[in-house]
This record gives sequence, structure tokens and C-alpha cells, in this order.
Amino acid sequence: MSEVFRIFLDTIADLANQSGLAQLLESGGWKNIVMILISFVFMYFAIAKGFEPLLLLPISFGMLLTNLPLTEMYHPELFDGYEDEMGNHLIDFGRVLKYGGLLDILYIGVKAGLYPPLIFLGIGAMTDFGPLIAAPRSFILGAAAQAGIFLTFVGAALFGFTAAESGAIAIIGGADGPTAIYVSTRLLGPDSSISTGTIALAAYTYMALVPFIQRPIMRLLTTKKERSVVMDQLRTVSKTEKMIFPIAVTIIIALLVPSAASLVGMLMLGNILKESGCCDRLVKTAQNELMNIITIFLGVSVGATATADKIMNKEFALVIALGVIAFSIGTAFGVIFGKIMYVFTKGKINPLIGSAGVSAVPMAARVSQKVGQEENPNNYLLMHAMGPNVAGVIGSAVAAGVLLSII
Amino acid sequence: MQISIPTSFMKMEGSYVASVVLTGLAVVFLALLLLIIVFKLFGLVFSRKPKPKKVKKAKAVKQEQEVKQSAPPAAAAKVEDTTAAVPPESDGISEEIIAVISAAIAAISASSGKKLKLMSVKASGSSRKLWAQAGLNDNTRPF
Repeated sequence: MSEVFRIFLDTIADLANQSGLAQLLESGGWKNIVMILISFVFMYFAIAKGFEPLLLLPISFGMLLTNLPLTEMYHPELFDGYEDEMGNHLIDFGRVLKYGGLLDILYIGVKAGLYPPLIFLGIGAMTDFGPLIAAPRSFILGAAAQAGIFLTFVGAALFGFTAAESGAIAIIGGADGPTAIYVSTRLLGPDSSISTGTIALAAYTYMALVPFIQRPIMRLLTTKKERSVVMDQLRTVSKTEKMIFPIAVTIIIALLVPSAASLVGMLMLGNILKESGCCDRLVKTAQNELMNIITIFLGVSVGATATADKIMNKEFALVIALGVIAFSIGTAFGVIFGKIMYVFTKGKINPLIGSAGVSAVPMAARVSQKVGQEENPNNYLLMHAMGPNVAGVIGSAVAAGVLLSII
Repeated sequence: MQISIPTSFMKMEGSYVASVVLTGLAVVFLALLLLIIVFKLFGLVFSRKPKPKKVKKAKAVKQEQEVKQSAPPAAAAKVEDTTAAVPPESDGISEEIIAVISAAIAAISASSGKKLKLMSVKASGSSRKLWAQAGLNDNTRPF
């Protein structure tokens, strides 16, 4: 009987030693505990504060899963890749499928650059480019706000980041989650001190904080008179124009910046499906089911890359600091160009719409509307701000393409 | 006097960083300026087209008004008679619904030139609910 009891105790002890709990209590396990607590903080932001919950919640849950020891769901080493005889860095996706866990397999879609363009397809199917077609000058504001990306690149370089890391950090200034993920997965390698998860966490947190970041900058850079400008009503845009728009943008951008073609092309495919009016079923799928499925896959797998060694370092703190700088510079440049347009049009343009040039659709446009209404409750800037806002989406995709081709 | 910026702590050359910033900003602005020019031109083409149409429309409206004014009042009364009449067999359906159906039929008869008259309105014998029928139609419609 005592023999049975001893075997029983040994088995229980073995099970306990092999459990995740034992791993957590081992040396170095405290880092996982801290990471799990950080994931709780982001879950709290998503659920209680409503910070971009559709993505931040799956990201934070992915972070929780990856930091629970022995779950074997994500293996970063599988994505280290190898160099072929031509010196190209390749990842063996067959090896990932054979030896990988659930999150490894889902992460293939991120590494292969599949999810962000598909998210863009859904965004295109939901976006009305009418305000931009009615006022093409809005493209200038969409371009100006991208200055945040390139000036943050300088900041990241000054802090000693490599070119690839600097590019990944700078793209946070584009205020566009899928673009940030797309660029960071392409640029960051196994040796990088930051991960795609770090970039995604910073990007989505700041996108949720857009009203708090932008409002003081907008008020600081504009006068009461400028903020009170009531803009003329936009002209009506015909259906033909709305259908020509996605085709023309795709051709122009793909010819100028081919590396931006997958993002802009999918955005415009979604848009032409919507505007043509003949593909209701496809539009519904792109807007809902496809977008939601990809959002879950993207969120949870990107969250899984936020492992302790990539988050608990000084680089993460720098990414968070540089991210807010990128957003602020983008907003400031948008407003400054809005002010220039205010002067050139002899006071017909409200500079507040410039801040909407950072993507963050439609939050940034709503901020322009809100700050404008603080001066004049009867001023409706929303539709005017939607022009620079959607121009910002195209602008950040172009900036992403430029970064990918230069770096 | 030469000013030298210490860049030893950077992993990139200062000139490389400057070239990334310059190239990036230049390409983004160039691409979006090109889009402005293209869509300004589109705007000019498309906002010009409707003008002659408007004139034509305005003329047409004027002519219609003139015709209406000159038309005998009896004709208008006849139209009222046919649309406002409730068919004898209405199966307990409210007058509002019948008015809507009559209006739709009047629109068809006006566009096709055929004289149509609403004889009766009956509740459908189908046991399938309206929303279920709509769902079925939606799912079985070919691509």
C-alpha cells in the first residue's frame, strides 16, 4: 500500500515539476508573470476604456497565451529563417506548419504579408472617398501628416536603432494599425530588439488616444479666428467619379511606388466593389465576415510576438515615447499645412481639418469636428475632415511603400 | 567654420538618415500631388457636364408646368378617381397599404403606357414569413 502511495506522490511531483506553474516559479519565470500582468492592463484598456477593443483585446490575449509557459503555441525561432545562396532571407513556412503551434500557423498570415492587405480590402469596402474626390486638395493634408513618420525615423536613428527598427517605429506615426504591422513584419528580423507586437501595441494604444494627443496640439497651433472658419459645402460627386477613383489611384500609386501596391490595391478593390453597386454579397463579406476573421487572426498572432524579451527592455519604453512623438508631429504638420491653405484660400479652409491627415479613420476627423464645434457649435467640419482623413490612409500606405523600398 | 554633428552613437550614417527623410517626403508629396492634379481635372470634366442637362431639365419642367396649366381640370380629376379608389376586395388590408400599392401600379402604368387598374388586394396564402422569404431569395439568388 505504501508503494502505491509513493508512486502516486512521485507522479504528482513529476506532474507539478512539468507544469507551467513550476516554470513560472523558476528563475526567469517572473518575467512571464510581469508580461501576463501587462496583458491584463491592455485587456483593461480594451474592455473598460474602449481603446480600439476589436484589435487590442485579441492582441492582449495573444500576449497572455504566449507568456504562459509550456503552451507551445508560438515559437519565434521558427520564423528566424535562413539565407539562401543569393543572400536572400527566407522563412521555411513548411517547417512552421510541421512543427508550429496554433499561433505560429496563424502568424504565417502576418509574416507572409497576407492579413494587412485583406484588412485594407474591408476598409476600402467601408470607405466613402466622396469628400476627397470633391476636394482633391485634401491630398496635401494627407501627405503633410506623414511628416510624422519620416521625422520620427530621425528620432529613432538618434536613439541608436537600426534602419529597419527605425522604419518600424516611424510607421506608428501613420496612425494606421494594418500598415504598421505590415511594415514592421517586413522590416524586423530575428535580431531586432523590438517585435511586431511592440509596434502594434504602441500603434493601437495611440490610435485610441488620438483625441487626447491631437486636441491640445490643434488648439496650440491655431487662432480662435482660424478655428471658427465655416467651410463651403462640398460639391456632389457622381457615381462615375466614385468608380473611376479607385482605378485611377491604383494605377498611379502602383506605377509610382510599386511596393505600396498590395495595400493600396486591396483598399481600392474593396472600394470599387462597394461603389460599383453590383457586388453586394462580396461587399458584405469584405466588410463583415472576412474583416472580422482576419482581425481575430491578426490580433491574436501579433499579440503572441510580444514576448518578455521583446517587451521588458528599454527599447519598448523608447518605442512608446517615439510613437507619441510621431503622432504629435503628424498632427502638427497637418495643422500647419492647413494654416498655409487657410492663407492661400484667403480664409476659406479651416486649418483644423489638417490634423485629420493622420489616418485613424474616422476618429481623427471626429476630433476636427469636435474642436471646431467648441468655437462655433453650428460648424460642421466632419465631411471636410473626412477628405484629409481618407487621404491619410492612402498617404500612409505610400509612405509604407517608400520605407520598404528604401530600407 | 565647419559644424560637425556627432553621430557615433547612431547605427546609421547621418547622410543615410537624411536621404531617407528627404526621399520619403518627396515621394509621398509627389504621389499625392499627382493625384490632386488628376482629380482636379476629373472634377473639372464632371462638374461641367451636368450644366447643359440642368438647362434642359429646367426647360422640361417649364414645359410640363405650361402643359399642366393648360390641361383641362377634368383630366386631373379622372386620375384622382383611379388612384384613390379602394378595390372592392381588400381582405382587411388598411387603406394606406392599398394607396401605396396603387401608387406603384400607377407608376408602372405611367412608364409602360399601359392602362392598369387595381382590382383586388388579397393576403398571400404562403405560410412563409416575409423576412424568411427575403432571406431565401437572397441566399438562392445566383451570382
